[in-house]
Amino acid sequence: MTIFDEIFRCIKKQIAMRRHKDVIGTVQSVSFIVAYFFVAFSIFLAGWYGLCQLIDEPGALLALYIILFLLAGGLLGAWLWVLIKIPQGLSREYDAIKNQIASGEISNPKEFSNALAEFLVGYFSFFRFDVVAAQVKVKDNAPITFPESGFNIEIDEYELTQKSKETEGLISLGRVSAQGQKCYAYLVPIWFGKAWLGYFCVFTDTRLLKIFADYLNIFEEQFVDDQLMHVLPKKS
Amino acid sequence: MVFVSLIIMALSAVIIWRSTDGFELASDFLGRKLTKGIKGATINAVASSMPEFLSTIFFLFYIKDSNGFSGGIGITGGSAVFNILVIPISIYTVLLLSKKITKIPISRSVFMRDGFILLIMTGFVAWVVHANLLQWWHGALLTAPYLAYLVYLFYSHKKVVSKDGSFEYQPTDDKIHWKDISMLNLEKLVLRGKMIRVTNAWFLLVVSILVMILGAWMLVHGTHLLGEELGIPILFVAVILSAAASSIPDTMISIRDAKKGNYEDAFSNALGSNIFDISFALGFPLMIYTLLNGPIAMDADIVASSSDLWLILFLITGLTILVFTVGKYLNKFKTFVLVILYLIFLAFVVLDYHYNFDFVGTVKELFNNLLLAFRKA
Repeated sequence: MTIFDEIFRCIKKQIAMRRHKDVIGTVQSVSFIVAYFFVAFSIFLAGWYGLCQLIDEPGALLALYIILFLLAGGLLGAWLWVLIKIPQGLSREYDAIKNQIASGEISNPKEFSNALAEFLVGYFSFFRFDVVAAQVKVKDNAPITFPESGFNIEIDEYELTQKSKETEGLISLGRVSAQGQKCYAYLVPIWFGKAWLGYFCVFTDTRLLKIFADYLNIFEEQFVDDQLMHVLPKKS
Repeated sequence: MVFVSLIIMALSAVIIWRSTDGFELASDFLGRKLTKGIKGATINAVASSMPEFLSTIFFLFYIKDSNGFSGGIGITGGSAVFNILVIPISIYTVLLLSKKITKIPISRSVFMRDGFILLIMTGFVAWVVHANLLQWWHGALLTAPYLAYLVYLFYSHKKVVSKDGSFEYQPTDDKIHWKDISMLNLEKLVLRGKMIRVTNAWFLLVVSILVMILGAWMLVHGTHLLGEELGIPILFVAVILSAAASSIPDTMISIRDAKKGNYEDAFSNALGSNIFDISFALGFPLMIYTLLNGPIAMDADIVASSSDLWLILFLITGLTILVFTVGKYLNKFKTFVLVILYLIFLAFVVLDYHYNFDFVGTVKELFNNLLLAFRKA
């Protein structure tokens, strides 16, 4: 089999698979790429024209302009791409936990806390939104921290519990110290209706933008609380 | 001024080398969740070939047109020769001197696979540089194989290895000394003893690229200056000196891999970065330049010299692949053959400059005469 046969086989396979995937997601992605390239190229041309008009022999400056534009455009594009893909990726990645709950692999609060803490650190790993550690507490259970080793958080569990019972929205705890390094802590209470179920607390390396703080709130509301209900003992 | 330009070029080599260290660490961390194949073809290739890419852009836009592009041709061609000959020679020498290793195992399949692609690409460039008028589609044609290769990789591999990937990092101490500043220890200057995270890894990446841009500009400026001072066309300065300066990062990466015992990575990085150099680092700047400024009318002398250069590069690549695919080890004899090949290349460049012989034209004429004689017979 030649390399061309292999490429052709892969393309055919992808086309066949695409039929079963969400068409809207693909349309959104393609629209974003086209729009981004159009806007970026327009800005590039405007800058290019401006430089050529302002300076007689732009030479090295023009080269620098192109390189910096490619760099900034590439990085910004990559970041925006990641941002718009967070909700879709979140659903896909979190599905593994939902499946484990449905199949009974995760059947108690401790297992759920472990899975959730690991998920928070593993998934939320983006520029300006990098969760370096997470603590999950389900009521009547000991809190679970991920990573277990090498991350001693100097924060009072009782205080967190009390704070999380006072509100339903995300609470910024400011800068805390963990393993000698400063990071930012955000407390997200877990409520199901009017019942307090616990909280999760994430530690990030930078202060979160409002859009990311909102992501965490939405994550709790749409992904965590109902799944936690499945693993809580029925009497509670 | 000759001395000054040489100093500028030497400094640029150090700056490029130091910036690649920071770039490599940041890109390694950011790409920790990718599979080896995709990581190698994207992040590693970009990390080690960024200097050639930046230099080609500077050559084209700073020096412009035919002369500028000849700098790009020179630096990519020279780097290609440096990568396939000098890197294996350096690896063997370092391992022989430091660990007394006399036989280094080599993966013939890697050389067969990557070497074949490289040979095709080299032949392709040899055809492109033979054109008298370079159009945007020449650049697009050069860039296309690399993009196709990327698309193929992304569709044929699983994207995520594991949740955490396999990245280990030990933070340095947070005290910054003069040595760190003078040696451009970007890792220490940017991370300041902190654990590497997504956000500071991006910062490190950006800072490294900015420093690399400075290095590439100095390299191009030094090459231009030296060429003017000595009255040598940029192509000839770029093919030996600038190419060596920009290939130092590749050499360092390969030697480090070889010292760790990753021989396959050490050799495949050299081949992989050649494919990226030839396809993307030369093709993409050519495409942008011609799209914005129109076609480049190549000077007849430059066409002849660059065609000669790429034809000899094509032959050397073929011979080197042959050397590596015969037998399972890189030994003293093979290293000696590589040294001879590099010396032949250097001699060819010097002689081509002095006597300006049209190697491609001669080969063509010979071929035509043979064809004529065959027809008559």
